[in-house]
Amino acid sequence: MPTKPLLRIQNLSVSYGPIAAIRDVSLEVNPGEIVAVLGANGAGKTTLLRTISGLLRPRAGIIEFDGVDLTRLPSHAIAARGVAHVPEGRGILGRMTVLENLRMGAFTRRDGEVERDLEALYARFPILAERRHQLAALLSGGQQQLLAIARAWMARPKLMLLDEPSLGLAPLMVAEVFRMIAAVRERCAVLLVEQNTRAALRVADRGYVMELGRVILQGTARELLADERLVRAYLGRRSRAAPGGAA
Amino acid sequence: MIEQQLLNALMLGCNYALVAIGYTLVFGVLNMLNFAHPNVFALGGFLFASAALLALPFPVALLGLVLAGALLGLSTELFCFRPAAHHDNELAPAISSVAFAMVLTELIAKVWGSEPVRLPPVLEAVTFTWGPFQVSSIQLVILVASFGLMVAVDFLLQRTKTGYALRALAERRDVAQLLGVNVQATVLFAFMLSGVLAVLAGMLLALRLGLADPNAGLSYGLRALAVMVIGGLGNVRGAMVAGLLVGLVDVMTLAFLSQAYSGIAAWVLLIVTLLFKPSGLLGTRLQRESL
Repeated sequence: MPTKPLLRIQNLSVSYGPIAAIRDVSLEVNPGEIVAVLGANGAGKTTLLRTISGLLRPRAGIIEFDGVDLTRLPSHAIAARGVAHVPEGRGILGRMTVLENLRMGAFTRRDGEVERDLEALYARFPILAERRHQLAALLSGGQQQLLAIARAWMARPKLMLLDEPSLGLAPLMVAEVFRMIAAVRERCAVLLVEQNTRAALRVADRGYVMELGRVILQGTARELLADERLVRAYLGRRSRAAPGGAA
Repeated sequence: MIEQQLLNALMLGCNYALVAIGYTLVFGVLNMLNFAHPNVFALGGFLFASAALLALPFPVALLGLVLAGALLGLSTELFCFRPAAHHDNELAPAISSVAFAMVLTELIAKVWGSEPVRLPPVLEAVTFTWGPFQVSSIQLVILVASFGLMVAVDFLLQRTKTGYALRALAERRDVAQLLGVNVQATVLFAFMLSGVLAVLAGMLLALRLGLADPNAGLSYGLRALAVMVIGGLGNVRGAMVAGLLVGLVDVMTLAFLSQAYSGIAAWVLLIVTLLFKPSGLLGTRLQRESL
């Protein structure tokens, strides 16, 4: 691809004490792309995202974002450079209202267009407008997930990191969340961590499959959907999934 | 008579509230207690007494007090809390702040002695009558200043960017960081604001009593701690409401029971609150989970 990657991760290793969580991972996200990171629990997907956003420090490797090395920057500076991380479990500020959460999303912005973005958001996701003055803790799980992504969108990021956005949601809400992810791509690139492999590959351009801290497979979404190993792993996961799970 | 008691209760309650807000701000962002806080409060009274004895113009004295409060808050954070910030040790900062409290106590004893320092008359004594209420000019100043400060703190928290940062940080440190909040700077700000409020509350107490009391930290500061818990840990509005309530209970027990009981009134209220609403008056279950 001729374009310069927005995010370039090279030979990244992260450990918790003596235990290696990620080993020698390399990965790229180009501007405007949705890239999925797939894999079972404990594969290191969440660790990967937390290292990109500076909550964890790598033991070795490079994380280059928009020409800057992120591995030395504190989290708040990484956010200010245009990385919006929606953590696992949504990270909603329950004691603040929906509107306050959205304003908090625009915390690093200096431009005067926050109100205009709020209006655009309300027009597309009316539920946020209806609930704007309610405490965010009172929203349903799916609505909280929408709010979490919307809040990240309010930052006008260049890259959004999404950690298991469909986890634990009812099928109808899963569809709504993926509709929002598709809307997000109009504005920024997305690095999407998901266990819902099929849904993730349907919105993604490319994907990486992780296992025990390493990337074991990568390719375009189409290639991965056709890959026998992944299909096998996916079906295996599905047979073990709890009833009513996100699959 | 009862009107006068209500007025006293209101002033006392404001004092508790202002000191409790300072505790609450720090507890909110760090989940730790700052034991130097009541001593900063006591020091505020002495600084004001000295300013008054030196006959400094009031704006100058006020500016000096605000700066001193900010500096004391800053020192508390830098010396007691920051060194342990990355060690997951909740006890070390608390103990360090006890040590800092002792330093401040000794400082007061060294500079001002161990006796209360009388304030010179700072304001022309005028009495305003308002129906059954009789309010002196000093009382009016205390009430207006106290409520003004509380409204200002509430406005800061609810309406400004710094306030959003403080609230986000109090709820989820990691999420606040991901949203771009500079944790170190915000924590420092919480300490400085807490210090300013403590010093100004100390000034208002000295104005009310007509003297700066070396024991103010112990008697009022400790009760303000109870006020924080009654209001709901880390909840600033709760601290305001609980402060006024404890002030009322204090004064009423003094007026209608006896002095012997007034000392324990706040603590009885604390126990009753913990029995029936352990999360505090304005604390919600939600809040307990996040703290």
